[in-house]
Amino acid sequence: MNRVVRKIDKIVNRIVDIILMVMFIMIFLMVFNQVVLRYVFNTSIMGTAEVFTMLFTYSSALGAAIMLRHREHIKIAVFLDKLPMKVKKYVITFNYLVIGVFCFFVFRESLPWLNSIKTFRSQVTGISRAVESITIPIAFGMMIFYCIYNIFLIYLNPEELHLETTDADLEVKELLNEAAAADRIALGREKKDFQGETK
Amino acid sequence: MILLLVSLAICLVIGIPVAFSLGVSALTYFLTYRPELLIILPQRIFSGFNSESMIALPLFILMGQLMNDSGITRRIIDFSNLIFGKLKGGLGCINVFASMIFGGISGSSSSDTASIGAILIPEMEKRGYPKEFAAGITVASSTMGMIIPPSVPMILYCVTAEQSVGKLFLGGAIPGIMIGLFQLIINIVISYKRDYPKENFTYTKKHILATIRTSLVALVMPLFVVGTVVLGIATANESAAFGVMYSIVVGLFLFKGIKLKNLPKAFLQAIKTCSSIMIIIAISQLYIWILSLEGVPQMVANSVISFNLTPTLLLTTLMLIILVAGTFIDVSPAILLITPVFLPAVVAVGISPIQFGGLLIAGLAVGAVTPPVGTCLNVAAAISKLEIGAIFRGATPFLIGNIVTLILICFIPPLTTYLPELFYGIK
Repeated sequence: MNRVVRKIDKIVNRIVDIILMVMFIMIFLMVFNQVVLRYVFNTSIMGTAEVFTMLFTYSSALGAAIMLRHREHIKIAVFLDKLPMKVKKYVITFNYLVIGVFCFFVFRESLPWLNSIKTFRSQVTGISRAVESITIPIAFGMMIFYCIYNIFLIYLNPEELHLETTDADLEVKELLNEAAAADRIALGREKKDFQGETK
Repeated sequence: MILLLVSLAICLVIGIPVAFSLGVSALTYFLTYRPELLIILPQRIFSGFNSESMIALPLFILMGQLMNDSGITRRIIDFSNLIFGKLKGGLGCINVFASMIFGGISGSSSSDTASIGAILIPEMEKRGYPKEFAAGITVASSTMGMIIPPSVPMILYCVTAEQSVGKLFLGGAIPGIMIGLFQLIINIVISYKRDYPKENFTYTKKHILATIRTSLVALVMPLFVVGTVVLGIATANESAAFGVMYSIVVGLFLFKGIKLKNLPKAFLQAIKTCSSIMIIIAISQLYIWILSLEGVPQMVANSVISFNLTPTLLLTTLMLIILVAGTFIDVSPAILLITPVFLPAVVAVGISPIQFGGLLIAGLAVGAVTPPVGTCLNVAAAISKLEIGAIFRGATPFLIGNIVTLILICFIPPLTTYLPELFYGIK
């Protein structure tokens, strides 16, 4: 059972990552295209702004759900990190329960709301308002799933949630890795330049 | 109201993410006082997500990330060395000046600390500077990342306060440069007093030309991005998209630091980083809605008017509040919480929202390098292996430059409003 849930989690993560990536690339291309069309060809495509705003709404909401899965949301962890591991586990469990309850209310309330706006359509694209608004129940539904999943992980596989490491340490590690990678590239290029120069 | 604030404080202290802390306290309020208004939850959250003007946010994040990934830090440091290397305490000046340039390119204080600190803190230590000084100056100078445009927190403020991004970009320019200049002066004074060394790097002509060329290519980008917005040629979204395209072209073909296959990952990383801010924006809409339902912004504005506070006195008081808030709360949520509460009061006494925006961002930048919460401090601690307290002690003399600038922003409005008025012609 544990393995099945993990496999589902892995597949969902991968799919959402791809969706996010594709949507953001599309947003970038649409915004860039808008300027090029306006300044170079003196024209524009109707409804582009509406479509990229919708894609942005989708990607932000889905991204937020995925960030919950990986415990990457902005938080004040200074007090939490000072707690003994056993207490920390209980507090994080409680936190996920509270977040889960909040997400449940948003999810529950979004269903009648969606129903009430489904007949409203955009005048430019003709897309129903419900199509863009459906991102709320999808994202918050995912968040409920991730809250439950992460509570299980706390007790079954805490390493996956990096509970031993403080949030600050994780962030610092990531930043330093990025800086080191960029510096390696710069050093490699400098070396190349230098070799070219001595030749 | 008290329930709202107390529940928010509890949620934040026990480590619930800021976005959900806001949501949970709003839910507590609704369930206790107005259960019939629960239907508002998805509507307000959706309106927070569904913002066309916020599309600039992930694009600016991506632009900075791409420039950073292309490995320009060393070139910027070399460029700074060409200018300041011969001064006493040259490495300190290089550190500050590189942060000024880097701030305009990356717009992120923490990547500034990581990129510049990883190279300069060990180098400064080798050259005989105290570790505390090296880490301190790195952290203090990284504050310019948020203040020198283009800057992600500025976009956030402008969207929350419904202000022009171009105006605030211009408004942040003078304070940002002033902080840099103050820090340079402070470094030179300390260096002469403590007899810190000059730098004697010798570069070949080719290396100098390559350094100048690369740095100029990097410098053009923030100027272009800010310029197009300010001159009304493009919206913030469009200029950010142009900035991304520029970074991709430069990173792929000129700096050759980015590989095509890594681009999708950079896009993913940027949108994920943006999501963690967007969820705060989205859920904070509930909080802001409750605040206006309870008439809090109006109450604050009325209190300020009844106290007969002068604009300067009000701004000074707000500066202290911002500095304290910034030490505990991250920059993005602080902007989202402080702006809707205090902006109406600020406007009521005749202060320009751009002046307040400049003060807010510059103040929160100081808060971001003040213990106990400060990513830049943690990054510098990891590089220098020093305690956060020691780094903060090292940063304190330089942060005086920031505090002086903050006070000047309060007392001299044109510092933040002159350029916007010059370009836009109206207050």
